[in-house]
Amino acid sequence: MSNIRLIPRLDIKGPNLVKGIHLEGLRVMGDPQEFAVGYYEDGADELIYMDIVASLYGRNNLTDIVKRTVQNVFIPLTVGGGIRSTHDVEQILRSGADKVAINTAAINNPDLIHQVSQRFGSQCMVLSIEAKQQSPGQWEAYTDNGRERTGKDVLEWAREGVELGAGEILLTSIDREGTRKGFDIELVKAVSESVPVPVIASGGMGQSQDMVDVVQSGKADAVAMADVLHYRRMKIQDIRQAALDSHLHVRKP
Amino acid sequence: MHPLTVTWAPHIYTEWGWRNFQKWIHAGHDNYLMTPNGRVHRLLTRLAVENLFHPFQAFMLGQKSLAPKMAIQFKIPLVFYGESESEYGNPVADSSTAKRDWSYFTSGDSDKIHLGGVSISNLKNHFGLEEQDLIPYLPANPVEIEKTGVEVHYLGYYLKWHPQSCYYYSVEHGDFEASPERTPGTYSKYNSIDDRIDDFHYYTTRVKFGIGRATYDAAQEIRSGDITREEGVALAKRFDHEFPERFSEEIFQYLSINPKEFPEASKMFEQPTMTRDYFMQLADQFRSPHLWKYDDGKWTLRHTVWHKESVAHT
Repeated sequence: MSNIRLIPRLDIKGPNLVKGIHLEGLRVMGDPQEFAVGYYEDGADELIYMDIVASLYGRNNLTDIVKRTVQNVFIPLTVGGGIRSTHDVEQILRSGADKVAINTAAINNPDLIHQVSQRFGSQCMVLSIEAKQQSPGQWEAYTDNGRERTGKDVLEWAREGVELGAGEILLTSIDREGTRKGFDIELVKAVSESVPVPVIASGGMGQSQDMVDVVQSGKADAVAMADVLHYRRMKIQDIRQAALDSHLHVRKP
Repeated sequence: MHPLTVTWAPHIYTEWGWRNFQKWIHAGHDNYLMTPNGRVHRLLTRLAVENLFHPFQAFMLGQKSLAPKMAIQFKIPLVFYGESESEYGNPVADSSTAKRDWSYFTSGDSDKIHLGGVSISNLKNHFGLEEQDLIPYLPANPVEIEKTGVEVHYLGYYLKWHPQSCYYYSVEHGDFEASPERTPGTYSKYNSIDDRIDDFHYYTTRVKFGIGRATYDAAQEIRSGDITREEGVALAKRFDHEFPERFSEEIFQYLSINPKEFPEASKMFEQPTMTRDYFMQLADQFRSPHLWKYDDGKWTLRHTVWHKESVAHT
């Protein structure tokens, strides 16, 4: 089986790395470049860059930050936020990204998933889903950084997205994001069991055990983390060691 | 400190607002919740909409007078409110002292008091209200205030008022939850989220003053250093004008003064039932000509913060 990936997630707004709670109350943390290089040196498997307010402000401008980052970060980089067309995808990939994550534009035009996967390959088409629980076992997909409802059921949307060509799903729990209360394991499990592609669990990591739980019980293929790293509560090396201690298939340092 | 907390209830709680109120109590506070008579509150709120286009007036009067009255009741002389009103555009002179201006919450002469643009005698004579219906909205007795030595202070005078930090603090210590969706008229979901009528409060400020909730939120976050001015301008442009659809039917029903529940007062309104059309008709009466112009069958603002940007760059 393939390795479980540990992925620092960097939410970016303008020139800054930011962090919120429930994707809200975004606090400026500093220069994303510095954090990214640090995480690379600490042994992260991949990185995620999200311009999380691109759709909210109707813009996208991560290309400069991406170009700067890839000069000294040599692990796969997924970039999302404000990507609306195959042209935008091309720009981001040319800047040095390996994969693109798309949420809002895919909701508005699901065929974009098909177009991107046809032209650039499923391996780089990550469907980003912001999920908020509505009732036990039921989640609604949101856009605009957890602000706009779409009326779409997360499980149905995940299946539809994969049928259209998405090669991976970045699944963010709005309820858990920034809370350090652990992942929404039911959500991750439900999506993982609904689709054949890898699922990256995002939102809620507070301690190493949360990672172990979301992998073992939630069947996550990768674990995104932000708060615990940006606030320097934990280091990637320690998280990796905890994963090894729990016999998770992570890359050995 | 062992503060007694006192809350004036929202007009109609949002579900998440009610949950947050419960969490507040379970975070370790005693609380008295004052919920005014629903019919009286509806009538006064409707009058304030009709005459002043100010759906929050009755609420604000009640909220401002409640804590000093409770202070007298329990003989607790030190009262704290949160931020000063000058944070929302009231005269900055108001914030030259930590203490609230006494004129806000004491009055010697109840005949001079109007509620919702109607004098107290008219409310009693023509709208079916009685003396005790008005008690929650009237200021504390200044003699009693003096006797107990009540002082009302603003916390914002002692601690930097930074709503985003308050959000973090209350999540951390009180399990506070943000709203499950963006509030109409703005981008935020962490402040002022417990009352279903809130959306309309800010919609009316947009009509009366030309600035909606996104402008208030963005201006505050720019001052606090949370967002840049450029972002704030983009957010105001995108959200300020938005009509608050989500609770509109419920709010219009709340503001309708039907003959069954209001046999006397319902006769005093040209149109007792509040509808979307009537609300917008009222809105148009409150658009100041120096702010709004009527072109091609629709109202537009004469000046906006994003127009200024383009002027500045040409």
